[in-house]
Amino acid sequence: MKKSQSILSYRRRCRRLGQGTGLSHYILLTPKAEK
Amino acid sequence: MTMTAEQQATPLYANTGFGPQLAVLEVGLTDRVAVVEPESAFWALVERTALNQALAGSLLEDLREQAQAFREEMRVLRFGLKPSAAYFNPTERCNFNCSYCYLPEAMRRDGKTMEPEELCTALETLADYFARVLPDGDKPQLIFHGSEPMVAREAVFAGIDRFRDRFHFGVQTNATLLDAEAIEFLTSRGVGIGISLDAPTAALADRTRKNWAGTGAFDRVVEVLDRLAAYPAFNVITTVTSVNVDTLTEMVDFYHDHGVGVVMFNPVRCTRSGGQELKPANERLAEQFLKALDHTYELYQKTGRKLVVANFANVLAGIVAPTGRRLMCDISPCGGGRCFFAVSAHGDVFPCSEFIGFQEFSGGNLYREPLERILATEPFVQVTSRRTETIEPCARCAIQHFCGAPCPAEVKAVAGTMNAPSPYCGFYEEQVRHAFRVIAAGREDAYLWSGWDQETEETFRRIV
Repeated sequence: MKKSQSILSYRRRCRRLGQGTGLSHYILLTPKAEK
Repeated sequence: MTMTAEQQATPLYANTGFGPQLAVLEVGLTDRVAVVEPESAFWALVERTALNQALAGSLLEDLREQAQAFREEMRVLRFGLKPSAAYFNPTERCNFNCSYCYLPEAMRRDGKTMEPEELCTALETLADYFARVLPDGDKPQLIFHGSEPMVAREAVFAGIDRFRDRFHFGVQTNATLLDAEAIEFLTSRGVGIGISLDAPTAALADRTRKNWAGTGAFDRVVEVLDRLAAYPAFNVITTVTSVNVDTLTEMVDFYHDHGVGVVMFNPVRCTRSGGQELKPANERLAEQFLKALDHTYELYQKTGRKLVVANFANVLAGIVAPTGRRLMCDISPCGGGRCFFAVSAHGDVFPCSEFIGFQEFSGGNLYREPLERILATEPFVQVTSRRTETIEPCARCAIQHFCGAPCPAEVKAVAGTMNAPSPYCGFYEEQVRHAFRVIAAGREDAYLWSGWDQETEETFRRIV
């Protein structure tokens, strides 16, 4: 059986912070459909 | 180096002296716990037998090396963003009278609807404002919201056609007025579309979502849902109440069967008495919500097709990539008044749609005053300065930056002050615990929206 890691930690950051961050709803979670 | 500077630079232990505050969290795993430094949102999953490494070993070194960058990242996320979106109510009226609506009934029944030219004048003002504050090339979001925006269809469509080069547009609608022509108009222009549906059967869905005569529109909404399911910029909101809380797993099956890719299971806001009366108990909500999430995973394994529950995905993103989150309700200060704001059909500007029923939270009118001044007024400052650090018990909560104590409008309605925790505090706790279990199992991809990994880059990793 695979042993679990004793410590696991990681962090990612947004490549374009402020662009696409910042609603109270869902719409930015879906892909842009604009052509 | 003086002794004090040396100790500050290299603390040997967490939680004493110059050492960082590392909270240990039970997350429902037999072999592991989570440790979190609240201020920087640094976290690790640690085997119980390895806790010494977290509290006095290698993890402290990691935290020491990363802390400054992580805190700066949180500072920018919490205090450094510019408004990039507006919720726009083109009408106060709604053809529906849902039990839990956060807007006053008189407004929805007899209120104002914008004419096309009024709406376009307002959009011009907004477009000019965003052009002043956003970097060149950044396109702001404009979401037509309600009441029911399709009541003002002529004005909305005129605005979309005239300003499509200056905004990413979205429409949140009850779907009952979306005929074939409207769907063609919106989808051919790439407009994001969100619709609302509360249950997998008419008998239940129509109990809370109904028109003024008391009749629901389940069949009509499902017809629209089927037409839009394959449209990439489509999603559905299910408002979770005591009426439908036990159907969430069925809802997952329903949405998955119908080909929907993104949903939100939003607990009903307690901003008005209708919502307060329908609030599900936190324990029941958490139990049913997590069961539904597990079911999305099962379906993904079985079919290879994801159903993203976006509000949970945002909590998960808030842990693994704090700046990669998309929604700004579950961070403090929330996004209201600082990342986005709301405009009423009269042109009055509020920190968020949740405040539109409370005239005292209007910062001014965009036809008469510059937006920069409106956004700096006292009603806005009240919302944009609301921080978990000044709320009890949030100030001592390890997961305060994974939750954010939402929402200020709801909290004020329930507690009489914004400086109180969320009425859904216990529910948020359970979501965060579940998110750590998802991370422990290495299943993040199954719960996050497609492309989340391309939108973000890894800045730190420690696996021992």
